[in-house]
Amino acid sequence: MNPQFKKGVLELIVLEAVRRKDRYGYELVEEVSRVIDVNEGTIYPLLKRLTNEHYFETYLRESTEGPPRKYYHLTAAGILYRDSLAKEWIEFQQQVGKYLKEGEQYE
Amino acid sequence: MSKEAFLTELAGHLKVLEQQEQQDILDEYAQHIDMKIQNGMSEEEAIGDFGPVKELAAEILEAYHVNPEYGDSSRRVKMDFESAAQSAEQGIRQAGGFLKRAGKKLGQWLREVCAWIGKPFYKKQAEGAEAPNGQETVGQQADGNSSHSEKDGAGYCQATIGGQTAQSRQGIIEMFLGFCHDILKGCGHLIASLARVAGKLSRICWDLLRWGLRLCWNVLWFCAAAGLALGTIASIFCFGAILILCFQGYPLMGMTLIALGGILCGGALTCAAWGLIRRKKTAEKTVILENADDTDEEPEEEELEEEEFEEKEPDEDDFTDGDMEAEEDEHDQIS
Repeated sequence: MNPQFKKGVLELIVLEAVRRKDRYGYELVEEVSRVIDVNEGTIYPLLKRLTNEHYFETYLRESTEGPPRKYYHLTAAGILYRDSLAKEWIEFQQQVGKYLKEGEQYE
Repeated sequence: MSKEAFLTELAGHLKVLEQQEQQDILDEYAQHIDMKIQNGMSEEEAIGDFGPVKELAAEILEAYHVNPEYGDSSRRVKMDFESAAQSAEQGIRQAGGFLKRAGKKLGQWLREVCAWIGKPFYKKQAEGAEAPNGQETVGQQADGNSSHSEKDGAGYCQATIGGQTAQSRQGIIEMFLGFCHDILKGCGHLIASLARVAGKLSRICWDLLRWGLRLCWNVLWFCAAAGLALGTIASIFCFGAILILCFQGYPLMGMTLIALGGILCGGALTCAAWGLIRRKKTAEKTVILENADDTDEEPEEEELEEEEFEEKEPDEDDFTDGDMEAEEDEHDQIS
């Protein structure tokens, strides 16, 4: 899969995954990997950036299997940002799809 | 790479962040790695998935809008020394090049001289072969080097340049001079490179010295100020105590006066210092204001002069008037 495509859409997927449910790092990596193949080296810095920009809030929750885990939660600003990204993505997808469909008559 | 090594290396790159942030980040990564190991991955694999540590650290720091190259001050100092060493190397190499060329020229010159010396013997053999009379050749040989030196000069000249004796000698002298010139150039380059290195080192030493001096100066003034304050307070205390003792009958009038004098001295010095500091600050402020005023006033004066000269042309007059007003507005705003 083209890495540029993945890079462009990673933020949106992460925001969406956290919107559906508060997740911690490992869980989030697993969830995002179901959609696109990505490595932790990219996700954790992205999480850190989105947290610093106040799209995410974090809290610690005790766990039975070890030390307390840091959970990510989408803030109101994060929800707005995710919505705008989703809208842009849908428009983008439609434009590109339309263009490719037009191109079919040139084959 | 083990988990500890990975975390330690990552921590090293994140030194610019706050302790709490660093700890948070490292804890999260440690947890992630543990969970992956729990789910069956090996430690190596779990860490490999993160990619190169440096890139990871750079991306994390980007989230804080921090320059990833920030913490490399030690590297910068090392680079300074490295660049100094490099320039020294270059200088030495250049000098070496010149010395090599000089050496080659020297070799050539020596060869020429040897040939010049050896010429007579070859010439003698040639002449010996030509002259049929054995006695004449013996006689020629018996002449000695003194006459040969002139004839050799001629012979050499015939063999090479084909001119006069003076010219051949001049050629050798020129070669000698050229060789000296190259040696001197080589030495000059070597000295220049050494001077450059010395210059850089001396600059570093000078900076350190200035910093040290400034530190000593500040410490000195701080101690003086502290001493003054303590002295004043002590003398106030002493004055009070001794005054009471004096009233109780002890013959301490002198000491009382001394303590009083101490208080007055300390107080006066403090006020003087305060006044000096105040004046210095206001002097700085007025200097800044004066500079601003100067730059505003000068163009205004020029504008006035221009106005006088260009009264006849109405267009330019209006232009200068407009500018003058603009300048005055600016001046008013600043003041």
